[in-house]
Amino acid sequence: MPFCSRCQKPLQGALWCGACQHLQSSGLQADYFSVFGLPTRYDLDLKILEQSYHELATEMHPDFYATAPADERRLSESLSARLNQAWQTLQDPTARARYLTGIWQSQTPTHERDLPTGFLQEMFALQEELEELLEAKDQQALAAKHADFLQRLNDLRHNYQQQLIELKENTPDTTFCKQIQQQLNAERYLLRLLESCSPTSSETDP
Amino acid sequence: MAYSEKVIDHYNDPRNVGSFTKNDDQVGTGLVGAPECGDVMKLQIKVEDEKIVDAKFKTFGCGSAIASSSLATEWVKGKTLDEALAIQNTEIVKELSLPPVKIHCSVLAEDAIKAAIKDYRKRQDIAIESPAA
Repeated sequence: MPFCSRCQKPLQGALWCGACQHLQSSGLQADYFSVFGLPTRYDLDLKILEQSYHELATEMHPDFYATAPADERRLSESLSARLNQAWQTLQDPTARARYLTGIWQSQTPTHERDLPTGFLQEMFALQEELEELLEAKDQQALAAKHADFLQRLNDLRHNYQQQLIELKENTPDTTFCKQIQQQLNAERYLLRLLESCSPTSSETDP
Repeated sequence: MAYSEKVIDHYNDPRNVGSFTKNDDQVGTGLVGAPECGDVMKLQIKVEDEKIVDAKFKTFGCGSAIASSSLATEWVKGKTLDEALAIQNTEIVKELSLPPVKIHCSVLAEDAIKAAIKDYRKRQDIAIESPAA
């Protein structure tokens, strides 16, 4: 557990000391879980996370440092930004899973572009099917495809989230990391397929 | 985001769109994807005497991915397999003036060329082996 750089008391979160109200410059390098003093695990209590976020956001708010020395004022801005990033990432299940696999990746590099066998071929075939439906403006078939893909996306998300929740150790083995990474990669392709279902998708920012 | 004129040109008028029969021994197929954005790219080459005589592509992705693969088919035509293998994504970035966030599109095109050549060579090995078997 880290300690406050000023009063030496143990810190709850890496950004700010609740005991002496001191901003921790070392918090700028802290990972998002440490920001909230949470273990590096997928499974977390969103209510507690939200509560700590609001408390910290209030305590460290740059408004309170308006009259503080310039470096302290800047530090409160940087730490608040870090806090917001951490919150944005951890509160979203997909972003949290991606962030977590990123941490694993730095410890044991795996095949980060890996996909389940045959998945890419299937995605290509589905994109070709969609293209024909879009050209034919077959709204009914497109809606059915959209529903299919959505179901598949939800199943996929449910599956990897469950695996992550049930994970006991902090540093899982390569097989597990690979399984999760494959599903997170597959998720992006499914999101793209869903996007392609709507006739306006070709107008999106290329 | 602003596109370079060359990207817009390839996007509006993509070269060599289409596909060859997959099971032709003269054809190599490369199918690659970018997990960053879910783009899928298929690039095929037709080879005679170690030389690429024709190339086709089909890409489901952004303008930069389409332009990168379109350009890749133009570049590989007339090259030997070894020459095509030497094509670097950085050359595509330079030609199309791709911004940093679109560099992965050029990587995808380079990967597609390499995958297509690998697939062709694998087919040749099988084609050479099978009559003896």
